[in-house]
Parts: sequence; structure tokens; C-alpha cells
Amino acid sequence: MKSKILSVLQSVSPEADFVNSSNFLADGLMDSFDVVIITTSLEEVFQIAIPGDQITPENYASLDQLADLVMRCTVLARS
Amino acid sequence: MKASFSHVRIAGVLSVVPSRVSFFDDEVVNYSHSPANSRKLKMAMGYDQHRVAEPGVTTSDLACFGLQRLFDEHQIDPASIGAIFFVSQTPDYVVPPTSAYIHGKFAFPQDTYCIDINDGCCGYIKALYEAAACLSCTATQRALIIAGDVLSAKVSIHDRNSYPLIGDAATITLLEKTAVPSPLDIEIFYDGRGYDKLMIPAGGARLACSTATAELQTDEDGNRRSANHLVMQGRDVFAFTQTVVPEFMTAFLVRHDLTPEDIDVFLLHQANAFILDRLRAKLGVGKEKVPDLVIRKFGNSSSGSIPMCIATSLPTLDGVKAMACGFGVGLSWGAALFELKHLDFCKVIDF
Repeated sequence: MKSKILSVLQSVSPEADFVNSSNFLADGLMDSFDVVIITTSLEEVFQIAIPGDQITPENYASLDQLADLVMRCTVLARS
Repeated sequence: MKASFSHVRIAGVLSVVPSRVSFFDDEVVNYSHSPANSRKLKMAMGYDQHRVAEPGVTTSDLACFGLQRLFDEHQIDPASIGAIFFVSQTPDYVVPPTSAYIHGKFAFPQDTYCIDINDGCCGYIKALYEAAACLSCTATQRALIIAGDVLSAKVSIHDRNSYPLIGDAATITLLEKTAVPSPLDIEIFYDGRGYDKLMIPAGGARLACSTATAELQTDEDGNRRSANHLVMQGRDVFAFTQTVVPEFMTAFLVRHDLTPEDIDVFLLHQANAFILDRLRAKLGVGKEKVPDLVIRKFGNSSSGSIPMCIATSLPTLDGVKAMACGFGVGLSWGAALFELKHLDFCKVIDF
């Protein structure tokens, strides 16, 4: 799952070092409009819906947190 | 602020948009972002086309064009209008009020009450409150709400956060007193701590426009704008629309003993398609209940977007229970609950 998420991130910002960043937003790797693109791409790739209140700086801070978010939304989609 | 009115109805809505159509695909070259990402953003945000006024055209020009059309078509007799509420962030002048300017252009009575409301995306809800209170507490029978903006002059063409969103428009809503019961419930809230989340820094008394304020600066996201331009803190505004606004909408419905299923149409401020889609999901209603044509085809006209929504959604909206919700600059948010039926006029015309 993480490799798929990483592919999405790199398709939006190919030059950004997402692997070595612990906080994408604080490190300036993505802006608010990148978040929009990433959200819709994740929804498409994983066939999930990410609720608006889950699109927070915390949930988009790192690969681990994005993976947690995708997992939660996947469970939600299956329930 | 919570208010209930019993004998007031929306009698007609006319929207006036500039005939010039600007396409997002043509604007991509103005942004420093990669064209590929801009195209992805286009899909997510609903960027397609928007209406942009020719330089020098003001909100009042659009409004006066619409009023003249309504008078020519005998939809409204200017002598019957007891109040004019002009809601905009793009007045013709700092002094006098644009409502007075508009009053002087037509044969409105001298005792017609005229006032400007400096407001944006929640401005229509506030004007509904003001106009309904005026109709309910005075002998006035009919009032006009003129709501809209020509924000293209206040947004940098190099600002991908804002320019693709905005759509110039002026809307005219006729509100009138009714003999039969016609409920109109309104709630409005503020959080002034967020005053700088959406703002034009220069041009008021605190920072006058100057050569320095007109200088373009590049922000951390690569957008170029000056202090004379509208600036939006996208992340904070988005968070506001996804936490405060849906909680408010749900609570509003509960306070009125309603569920989303009881509402035929949600007339939401046309912020962008991404926000609208997530608000719709939160409400748990189908796409047919949350029109988004305005943001896709005309652009976000701030206080004009809700009446634009009404004007573009008819004839399917005739005889329906509607909940309108505005949210934005202030920060402020509010909703209105009313029935839309048998409107005397309801259309969009080109300027």
C-alpha cells in the first residue's frame, strides 16, 4: 500500500523527497492544492472516499499517516 | 443570530453574467505549476470555465443592466421597491454606497431604503435576513437584494489558488411580503478571529493602495499576487468548510426538526467542486440535491453564488423546500430555509 501511495505522491511532486520527510507540509513538499490532487488520486487508486474532515495536516504529514488514513477509509468503504 | 419570518417569499431571481468566457485550459500558462498538475486540479476542483468582466465593468454595471431588463419586461415596477440591499466586496466607490448610485439610476421612490453590505460568500444569507426583517417590521412590501462581485479585478491572474475559481456576476432577488404564510428561517454565525483567512490587505484605511502594495510577490506555493489582490489561506479555509460548516448544517436541520432527506435542494455557496462534493457526502444526499453547475460553468461569484444557483437550477426547483448555506469571509457562515415556488422570473442573462 505504501508503495502505491508513494507513487501517487511522486506523480504530484516528482522532485520532492517524501521518503526522508517526517512532515510533508512542514517541509514544504506539498501545498493545499497538492493535497486536493493527492486526495482525488488516492480515492481513484484505492477506490475509497476520503471525508472532508479527514483531510487534515496531521493525516497528510507522512507516508505512515497517509497509509493509516487510506486503511481507515478502506474499512469504511467496505462496511 | 437566529430569526424566523412568517410572511416573506423570494418572488424572483435574475442573474447577470459577463458574456466573456475564460477557460482554465487557456489560463494554465499563467501559473508556475506544472501543466499536468493543473490538469489534475481542474478535474478535482471543477475548474472548467468562468465568466470574467471586461476591464472597467463593475458589479453595479451588471446589476443596472439586469434591473433595466426587469423594468423593460415589466417584471418589477421600480415604484414598488421599498428597499435595496447591495451585497458586494467590489463597490463602485468607497464613498458613496453603491446602493445609492443604483438608486439614482432608476425611478425608485425617494423613501426607498438603500444600504450596502460589505460581505462575500455568506452575504446573501445576511441580506435575506436584513431584507426579511425590513419587510416584516415596516410597511415596505417589496425589497431588492443585489448580490455579486466583479472579483476578477481583485484577483491576480497568476494566483492559481483563486483566479480559476472566481466568476463575475450580479444577481437581483425580489423579496416580497405575502398574505399567506411563507416561512423563512435564518441563522448566521461569525468567528472574527479568522478575519484574515480571506482578505484583500490593501485599499482600506489600514493600508492604502500604493505602488508598493501593487508589487507582485511570489508566495510559498508559487502563486504571484500583490497586497491589492484577494488572498486566501487555502488550508485554513478548507478546514473551516469541512468541520464548522457541516456541523452547523446538521445542527441547523436538527434545530428545525428536519433531516437531509426532508430538503429537496441544498443551495450551497459555490466554493469549488471539491468542497461541495465533500459537503454533499457529509450530508449523505445524492448529487441531484446539491447543484454545482455554477462553479463549473460560471465561477464563484461570492455573495451571488446562491442566487446564481437558484437561477441556473430552475425549472426543476419549482415548488421545493430549499436550504441555502453560505460560508466564507469573516469568517462567517449561515443558512436559510425557505420554499421556492411560482417565481415571477428566474433566469441568467449575458451582459
